[in-house]
Amino acid sequence: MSEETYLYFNGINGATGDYELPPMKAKDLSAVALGETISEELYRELKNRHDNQEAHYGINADTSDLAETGWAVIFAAKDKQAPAIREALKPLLNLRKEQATKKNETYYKEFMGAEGYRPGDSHLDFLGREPRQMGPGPANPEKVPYYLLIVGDPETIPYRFQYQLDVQYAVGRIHFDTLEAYAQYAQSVVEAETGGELRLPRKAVFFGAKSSHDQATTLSAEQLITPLSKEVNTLQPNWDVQTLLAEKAKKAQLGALLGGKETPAFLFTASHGMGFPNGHPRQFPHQGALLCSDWPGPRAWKEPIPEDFYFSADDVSKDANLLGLIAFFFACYGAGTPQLDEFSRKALKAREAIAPHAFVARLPQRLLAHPKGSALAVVGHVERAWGYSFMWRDAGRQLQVFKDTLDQLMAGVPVGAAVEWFNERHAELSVVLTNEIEEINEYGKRRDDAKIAGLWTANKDARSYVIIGDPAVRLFTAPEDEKPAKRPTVTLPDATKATLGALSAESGAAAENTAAPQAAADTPTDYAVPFGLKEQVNDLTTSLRQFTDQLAQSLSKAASDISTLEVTTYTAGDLETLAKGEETQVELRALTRIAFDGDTQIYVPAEKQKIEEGLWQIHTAMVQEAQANRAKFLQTMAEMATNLLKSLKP
Amino acid sequence: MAPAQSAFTLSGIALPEEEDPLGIWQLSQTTEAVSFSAAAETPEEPAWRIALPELPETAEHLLTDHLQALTLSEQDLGQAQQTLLALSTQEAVSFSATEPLAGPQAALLDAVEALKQPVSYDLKLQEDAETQKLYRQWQSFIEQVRRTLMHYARIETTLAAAPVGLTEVGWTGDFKTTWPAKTTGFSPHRQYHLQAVHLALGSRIALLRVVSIVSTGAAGLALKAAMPGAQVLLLPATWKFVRDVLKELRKSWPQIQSLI
Repeated sequence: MSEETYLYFNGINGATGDYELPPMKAKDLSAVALGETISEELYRELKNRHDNQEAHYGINADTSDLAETGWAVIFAAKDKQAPAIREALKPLLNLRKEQATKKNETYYKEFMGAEGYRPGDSHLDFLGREPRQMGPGPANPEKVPYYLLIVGDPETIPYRFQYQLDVQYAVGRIHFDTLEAYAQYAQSVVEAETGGELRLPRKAVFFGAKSSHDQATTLSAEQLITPLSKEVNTLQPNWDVQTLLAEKAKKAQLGALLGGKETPAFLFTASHGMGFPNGHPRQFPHQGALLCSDWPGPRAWKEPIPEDFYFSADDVSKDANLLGLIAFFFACYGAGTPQLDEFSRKALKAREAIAPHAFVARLPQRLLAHPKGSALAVVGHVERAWGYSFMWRDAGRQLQVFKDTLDQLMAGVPVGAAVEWFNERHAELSVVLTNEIEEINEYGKRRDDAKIAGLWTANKDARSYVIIGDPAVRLFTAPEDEKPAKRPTVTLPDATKATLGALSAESGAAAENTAAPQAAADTPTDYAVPFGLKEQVNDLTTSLRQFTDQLAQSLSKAASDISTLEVTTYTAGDLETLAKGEETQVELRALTRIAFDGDTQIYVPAEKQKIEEGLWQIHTAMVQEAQANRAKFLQTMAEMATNLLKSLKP
Repeated sequence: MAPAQSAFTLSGIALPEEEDPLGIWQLSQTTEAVSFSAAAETPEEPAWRIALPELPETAEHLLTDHLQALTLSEQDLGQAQQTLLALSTQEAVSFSATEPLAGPQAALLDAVEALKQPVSYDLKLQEDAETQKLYRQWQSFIEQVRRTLMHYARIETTLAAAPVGLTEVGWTGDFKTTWPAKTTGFSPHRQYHLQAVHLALGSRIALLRVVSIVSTGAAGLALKAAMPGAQVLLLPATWKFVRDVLKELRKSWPQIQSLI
């Protein structure tokens, strides 16, 4: 790859129809990488992980046996809804406790309250604190079990913490808007593992969207989906491996695979993930939705992307049957979105907000909490996914990580252990990249932009795969000598719903002051509100909250900058050029700066370029206009902020 | 109708149905004045453009008419606010079908009634295309008004297609104005631009007031619906009410020939 080679990303901006992130030059990315450092302790952790890769994958134990690995759940210390969520998850927690304590009763843990995640915790802060007293290195289940389920939104327990823990542990996350959703997920996992009825056909589907003149999906269809499905077919000859590409990879087909009659045991998709501008009304409901081959491609379609082109949570049928499904979405934002941008060219200056707050993608949330029976896990990407990850510089196609992961998953290894190959790749790339940067910055090694950019992108990409769901779940397929059975339906009993409704009312009041934005957005609702209506309430509340946040930011900024009001007057020889946004010569003719206390400073040119009378008069009139406008604007914003805050009160 | 060579356009803001609720500005999604190469990342900043004809009387007349329209819009917003307050505090509001606001009031009270039966309203939200559209329009409107808070206001005035003034108004009200160097003395062109700045900034504040009036109105009406979340579920219907009231009241304005 030359330094002028462009890197392409999987992601389409739904609001514009354009690429979510334009192709970037290697040298731009290289500059970002060179300015970025990781903490020394995390580097040691990654190096340790990398150096010991042959000995174990985060633990010296049989990763398929929870009695050897242990299992724990992590809540945020200040999550006031945690007791209610724990109650909703109780069937799952009881099951995991039973499985993990068969040999050692300390192998099951619940980290909540004072033992939970605290704001600002790094993984080592968390691991080292009482009662864990665990340092870096492989899991020691007596202190901290290998399988860790984070419960909470990524604003309260950040993705960064999840990435760090993931280096040595098998980590998953769940976050839902309602207690019923938590209970539905728990019930579905328990049914899958203990019900005895879930014996899925050994069917895996590889779904590769591809649109005309689109380099990203052409690459993923031809260099990822096609060869990977062939490899998997060879590795797992007892599985029915189907490949759907291009015209066969349309939205209607994906609907049949995600809850319809063709739903497989395992689904792997490669596509663009939908992205939307920060705060866009479709961002929360549709970011990370899967863009299908219905999209005609970037040349033929230059408008906002309609919902007909992509598959979102809204498209999962209410009658879908998803029990037992494990899916892997190779797509931007397929698992979630952080608040701050990791990749934009603006990263050369400062990371900017790409969302009002970090969140879990709605599609996996919907799949994992379906009221007729849920999928067990979704492996996906937080932030943008990079095609470069499976194409390595001059070496070409690199599928080993994907291949090994899928091979283990289809052999029945729990998803958290199966994806350790990605964590291993992250560790290796981090070590190599850090060494390379050190050589350049400290020892003057000649900088190879293409190499740095490649390492950096692949490293970020490997790091950002996360599991939405319990990391200890696995595929439940029929044994070879048994006939597969129809997926059972799992619905919550009415009594459970009633209990959760009462709990919700209690915990809603207790959680009023919690920090999680998504939880806060839900406070006006209760469980008496039907599902569709609740969605509308959430969306409307979210948009109003974003507006109020913007207003608060404006007022705050105004408050800090209000000390002076500046009115400047320029003249330009060619105002037309200036109006077009192009550069032209301008001359400053007058500047009035009025301080908060009324102290006024006026600057005009020296005697020989004296400002002409007419210009001075209009400058003075502009000063008066500016004073009147500022007063009225601030007054309106303050009134509006007061009113909106009242509206947002539950 | 406005003279063909004149226009009061607002670009960089995509208001629902490409319609300014104040009835003053034409909305334009494209502009030749500002272009950002990374369009997907950086949306165009809101710009208020006033294109005036060369004839001085016509130009002055146009500006006066639009400033008068702004004043009337502000008054109408006050009336919409008062009507919402009355609707939320009175048990029953009597109005004749012939009154100009009868239609919007009836539609709003229907929405409140519907919310008292959440299940049926749920179905309505999901199945009624018109309700869905309204819901999306409100979301879009609030997003677009939010954008006006994120960006500088840019005001450009042209006379017979030649620029006469360009002003950028920052966050905290700082003004930066550029004038053509060739204009000297007490040119009326400068007064045109000053009036244009007043009109644009007044319109921006009026749009912010719409959000404020809608949100307080919805919160007041929610007491009638008495269900969780009603204060936000009523936002789209309340927004439609305010928009319709402004439209209705515009019909009784003194004739302003030059308005679009």
